[in-house]
Amino acid sequence: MDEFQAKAKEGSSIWRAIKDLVYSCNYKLYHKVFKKIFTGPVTPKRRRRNEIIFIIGMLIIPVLHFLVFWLYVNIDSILIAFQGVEIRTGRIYYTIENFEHVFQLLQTSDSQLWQAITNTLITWSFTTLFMFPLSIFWAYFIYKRIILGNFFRVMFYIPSIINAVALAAIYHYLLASGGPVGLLYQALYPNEYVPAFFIEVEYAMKVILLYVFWTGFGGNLILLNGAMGRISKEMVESAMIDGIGMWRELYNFILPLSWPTLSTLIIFSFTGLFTSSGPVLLLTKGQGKTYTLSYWIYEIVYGQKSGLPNIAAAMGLFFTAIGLPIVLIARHFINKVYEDVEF
Amino acid sequence: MARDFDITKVRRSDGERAIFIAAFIIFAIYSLSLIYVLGWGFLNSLKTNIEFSDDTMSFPKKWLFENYVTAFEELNYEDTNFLGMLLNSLWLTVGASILSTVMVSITGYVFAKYRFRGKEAVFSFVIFTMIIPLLANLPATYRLIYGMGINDSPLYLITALGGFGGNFLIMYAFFKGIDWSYAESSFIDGGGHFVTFWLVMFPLAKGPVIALFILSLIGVWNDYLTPILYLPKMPTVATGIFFYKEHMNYESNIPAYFAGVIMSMLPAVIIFAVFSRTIMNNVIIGGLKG
Repeated sequence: MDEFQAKAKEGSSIWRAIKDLVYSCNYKLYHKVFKKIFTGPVTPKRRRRNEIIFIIGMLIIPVLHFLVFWLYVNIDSILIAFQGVEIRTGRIYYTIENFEHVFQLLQTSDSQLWQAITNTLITWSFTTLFMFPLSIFWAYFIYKRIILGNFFRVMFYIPSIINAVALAAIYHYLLASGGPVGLLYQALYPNEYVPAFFIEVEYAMKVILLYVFWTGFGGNLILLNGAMGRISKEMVESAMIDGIGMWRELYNFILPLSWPTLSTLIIFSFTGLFTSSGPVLLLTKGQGKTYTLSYWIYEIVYGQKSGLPNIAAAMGLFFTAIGLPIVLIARHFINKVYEDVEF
Repeated sequence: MARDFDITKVRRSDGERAIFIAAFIIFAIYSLSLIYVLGWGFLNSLKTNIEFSDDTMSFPKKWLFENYVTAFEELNYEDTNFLGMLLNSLWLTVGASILSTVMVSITGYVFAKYRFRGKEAVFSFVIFTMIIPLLANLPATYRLIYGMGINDSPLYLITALGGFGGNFLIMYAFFKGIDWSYAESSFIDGGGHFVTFWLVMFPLAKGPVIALFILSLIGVWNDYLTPILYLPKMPTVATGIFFYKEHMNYESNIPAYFAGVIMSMLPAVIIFAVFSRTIMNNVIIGGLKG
């Protein structure tokens, strides 16, 4: 114990020495150098100037990063959507033919685009309308200290901690013909071939959703547990003594008190309306009619097919234009549900 | 004493009991499925290739832990072996996590503690950029990164210098709650604004900073979508495993591949196990009003 304290003291004294050194250098620099250059008392004006130098010095890198990797990129995205490339000369010209192409695809009901839209909306509904409410219940049971709760919590987190490439690889072999699921299928239907789950249209999308379900609770649970953990114990306890049941406890206490977190998650889920996707690249690569909008775009960029990035950009712009009002309306109503609770 | 009252001791009604039992059973099945799958992967990483193709369900005849050594040689992509992939993952993960965590601390601090013209407008705009659904900036980002020539290079780390994102809000909320008198006493000691930030305020934020740093480590370690596009010739552990599977043929040693898969999971799991409490206590997101 004493040794530990001595060590801690030693550590903090080193820290203090560094601090003192920097302060004295700073002091000397200020009094010996700066004062000679800018003579005169420290006026509020000069204090404000120092502040401004600090603000600019600190923000210059993140602001530049934002201008390049957000603003420039998004302006360029809009430009790409209106650009075409002459195949023979490589000359870039401006056109609306990308949008015409998108509308053509939208008019053919069996196009890959419709397939992608359908799968995206299926994935979104599955994660937002089914899995998200479920994860609130999961978080509630853990919050109420269900038996082995801490163990279950870790188990739920694990899929979001280990990398998806690795987990998807094992999942892939698990469902292959020699794997446990394949063997089980053979035992149940001895006269049939084991289907290629990741390729056949009948199974491929379901297999992806199963994977999403199996691995997708961790992220929300971390945040929901954090939110519920902060709810004042006394408040809920006194209600429990009054004998309210589980549903009223959830509805009258847990939901409103964790609303700041819940509402944020819901708004973000609306932002992700058109980008919802399972790990299509890892599981099916779009086979078995499993394209989603975001995988469609990803594959175009990954494959570097000429001309297609322009159509992808046009399509993205089109969906941003539809999605933005939806998000804003959703946010408007979600923020109205409860007044912000401070505790 | 009311303090000693234990919520868990309150008798639940029979209906609620049934719900809790049902939840327990669901949780148990879920946990077993995960343990089974990971265990299955582990057992198959200890087999010979022939044993694996014969029977994936049996226990290995001989536990070939040398598969884990073989994996370092065998898992090879673009002249990078598994060790090389580990090194690529290491610089990318640590570098990107340090840069992004420092950047959000800086922006969070300046926005929480200093006033300057246009701050509110910028703040609202930052929140707006987070909720706007962007689908198609991938082609433009690709064009920019290849145009700048930072693909397949450690210079790619400059993309991690962003200071405005979800984590910005967490740091902003943290610094809002820190008393300004710490800074004032530092100013009296002769510290300027920079010194005050780095030596006083930044160390005060070590809780959320460590939490965000760890979450970023895990996120970058596991990311495969962006490194596949921008670092295709410098495979990380995640993308190396992906590319290796893409180019597998009948000669490929699947158990050694499984060994690599298992090894790729470990760093993130260990880091999370060590820091889970810090993460839980510090990562809280609030509302999105701006």
